[in-house]
Amino acid sequence: MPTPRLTCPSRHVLCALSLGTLALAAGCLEPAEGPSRREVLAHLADAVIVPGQARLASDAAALADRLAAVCVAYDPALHADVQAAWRAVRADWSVASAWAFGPVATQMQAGPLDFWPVRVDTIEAKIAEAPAKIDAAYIDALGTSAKGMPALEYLLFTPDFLDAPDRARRCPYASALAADIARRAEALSSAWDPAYAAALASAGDDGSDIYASEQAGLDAVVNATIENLYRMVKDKLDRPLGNLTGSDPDPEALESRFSGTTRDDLEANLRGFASVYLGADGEPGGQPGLGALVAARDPALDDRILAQHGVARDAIASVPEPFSKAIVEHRGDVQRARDEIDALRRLIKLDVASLLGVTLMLSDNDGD
Amino acid sequence: MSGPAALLRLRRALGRPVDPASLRAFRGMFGALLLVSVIRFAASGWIAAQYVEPAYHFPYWGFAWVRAWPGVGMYLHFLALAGAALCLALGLRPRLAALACFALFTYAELIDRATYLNHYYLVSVLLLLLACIPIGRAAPAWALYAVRLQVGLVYFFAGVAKLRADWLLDAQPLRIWLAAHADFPVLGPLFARTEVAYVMSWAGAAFDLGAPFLLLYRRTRPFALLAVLGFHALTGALFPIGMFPWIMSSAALILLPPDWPRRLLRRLRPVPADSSPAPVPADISPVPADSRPLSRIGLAALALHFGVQLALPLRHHLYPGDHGWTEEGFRFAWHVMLVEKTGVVTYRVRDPASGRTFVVHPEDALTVQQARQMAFQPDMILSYAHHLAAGFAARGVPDVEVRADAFVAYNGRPSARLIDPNVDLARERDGLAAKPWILPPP
Repeated sequence: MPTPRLTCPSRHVLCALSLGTLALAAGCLEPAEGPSRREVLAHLADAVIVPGQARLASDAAALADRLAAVCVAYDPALHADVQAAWRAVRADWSVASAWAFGPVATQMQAGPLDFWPVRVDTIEAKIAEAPAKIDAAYIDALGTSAKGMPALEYLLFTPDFLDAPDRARRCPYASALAADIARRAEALSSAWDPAYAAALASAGDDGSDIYASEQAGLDAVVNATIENLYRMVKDKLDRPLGNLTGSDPDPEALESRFSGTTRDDLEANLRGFASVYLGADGEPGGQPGLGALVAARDPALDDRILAQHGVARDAIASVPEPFSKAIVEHRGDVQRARDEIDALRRLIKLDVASLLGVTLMLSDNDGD
Repeated sequence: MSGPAALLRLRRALGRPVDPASLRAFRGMFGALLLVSVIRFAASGWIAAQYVEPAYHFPYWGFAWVRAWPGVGMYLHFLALAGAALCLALGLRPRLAALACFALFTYAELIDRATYLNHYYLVSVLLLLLACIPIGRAAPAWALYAVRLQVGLVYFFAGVAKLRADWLLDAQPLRIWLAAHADFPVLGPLFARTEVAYVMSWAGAAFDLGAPFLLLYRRTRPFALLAVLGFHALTGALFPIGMFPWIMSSAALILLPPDWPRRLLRRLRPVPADSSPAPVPADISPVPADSRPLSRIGLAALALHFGVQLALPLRHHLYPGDHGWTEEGFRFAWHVMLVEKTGVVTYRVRDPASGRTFVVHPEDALTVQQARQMAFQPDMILSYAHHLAAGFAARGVPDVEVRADAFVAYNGRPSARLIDPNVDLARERDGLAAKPWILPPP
């Protein structure tokens, strides 16, 4: 008897059956251990980023209000109050550096908000040529080196800020800067809540034109984390240490040098990292941060990251204040802090990114 | 049979005319795909990103003389390549067009090691073959066999390369890559499973090893063709591999019987039962009976070409250590999709005269693509060390020492140092010899 020949329709049926079986198998599988990437992205969007951006916007608005009041009364007793308000905004911003993607990039807000090292001459020149009534349009037209948090820091932390002979020019300028900062912080917060947060939380859903897949959302989060740590190493420590130029330490290259909050900024950067890695409260304990994904796949790596985070945090804390003096007199301590942050950066950029398939498995330009 | 007689018989067999239809179809499809690739490359802004904007290119050893053209030169270069690809696709002076494509494409690829891709290398090799192949009313058998063998070698060596512990015993790097696609429609939940990564790893190795043979064998051909197209469609959907699936899918068709395009056309345009047969156009007339043996020079050239093609994928055995880690003998060897690597490199440049040490983050001066590629490839790390030393010398700081703090994560292993941090790379020479300053993998 001749062997029956497999006809084309039979092949189609076989293909359909195979695909159906695969789909059924996919649907019946138990989910992998640990939170899903969707849960992590949703937690980071709703419990970490949105509240963090709202805090920044709220504190920036409070700073602007207080400064506006100070520039009417010129009450020296309020000087410390506005300085404290600036520190709060700075801390919020430094924490938010851990998720500097999305609106901060699309709105190009990093430059206008955080240009440093401060160019004192530029700021003084702009104050001198400012009109009697400084409005938002004037500040908007200024270059990034004349505005933002560092420029405002320079003004607020000058001891005679409220007593200077030209305070009638300086204070309104500072007030206008604060208003500009508040406006930009509000723009960021509004962009995150609800649109961007929803996009991140629903990455990969049909119709998502920001994050085409959950992996794309995860890529954004991890890459921002890496960038945050890289900036700490290179811009905030290598540069003032003189490592990039083979020269002596340069305290003038420190972040937030006028307020003396360099170390606070670094610690806030690490708190931001912790909130992304560990979840909203920044403590180990089961919140679905990035670390939950790592722990589910490689608990040993998670342990190494937590340990290295602790080492880096302690190394920063061990740098004696004032930081501007320590960088010269205790250079080894600062260098050690830099090296420990760099070690943390390597763990995230190499091991975590590789574990989660973040680092572009293949080249952007057509791998094979 | 004596040696010369056997050789003559071989030359006659290779000179035997065959139906040129599949070669013509391949040439046309290949030209069209090359044209699409060039247009896509330009439209994506990659001419500027890869050739115009970088302040530094990573030259191949021995090819430092290949430089990016200044000004609009690279745009004109790709414009000329597009024109030649169009000619190839349309069959206008096809060998000359293939030669022009080969020269232009290969020149562009030789400018910077950071742009290396296996399928770009395949494009160069196939263009070289197309430039040598005469396709008229008939084609000599060697032409068909040469292209088939070339395509077959890609699959086969890609399969051989997968016969390693990482791929078979740890399902790496597929385990990492598939898990990243857990939200893929329908199949996503499967990709998150480790056991699926194992199945796909083994199936992938078997597929690569067997595909060329299964496509050649009549009884397995339909299933093999379905598997080839399905495999490339799936990898194309999962991974950012651009034109690779299209190129490999079209190249695999050369392993079908040489008259497949004619048969396909007959199926697509069936002749009505009651009509008389249409006249056969001249360009698809039956194969002429006359044949000339392949010349001795031609045979020698073929032997040389395929000798090189056999040697290159195996040369990594001449180097110590895991070539997936050291990357020695890794390029031009069809080691396709074998490694998931990420690196971080920081250089320490020391001026012995002053004792000053500079930390250099190469990301500052390289494109994202360059920085990412060089961070895990020792020869590129060495090249950049030489570039740094030359830069310092040009600024009046001669004879600096350059050391690298290079760390790499490789196929799921914990990250580890790649380069001996005590070795002065400025004093190490580039070349084909093994690099003793590459540290063993973790």
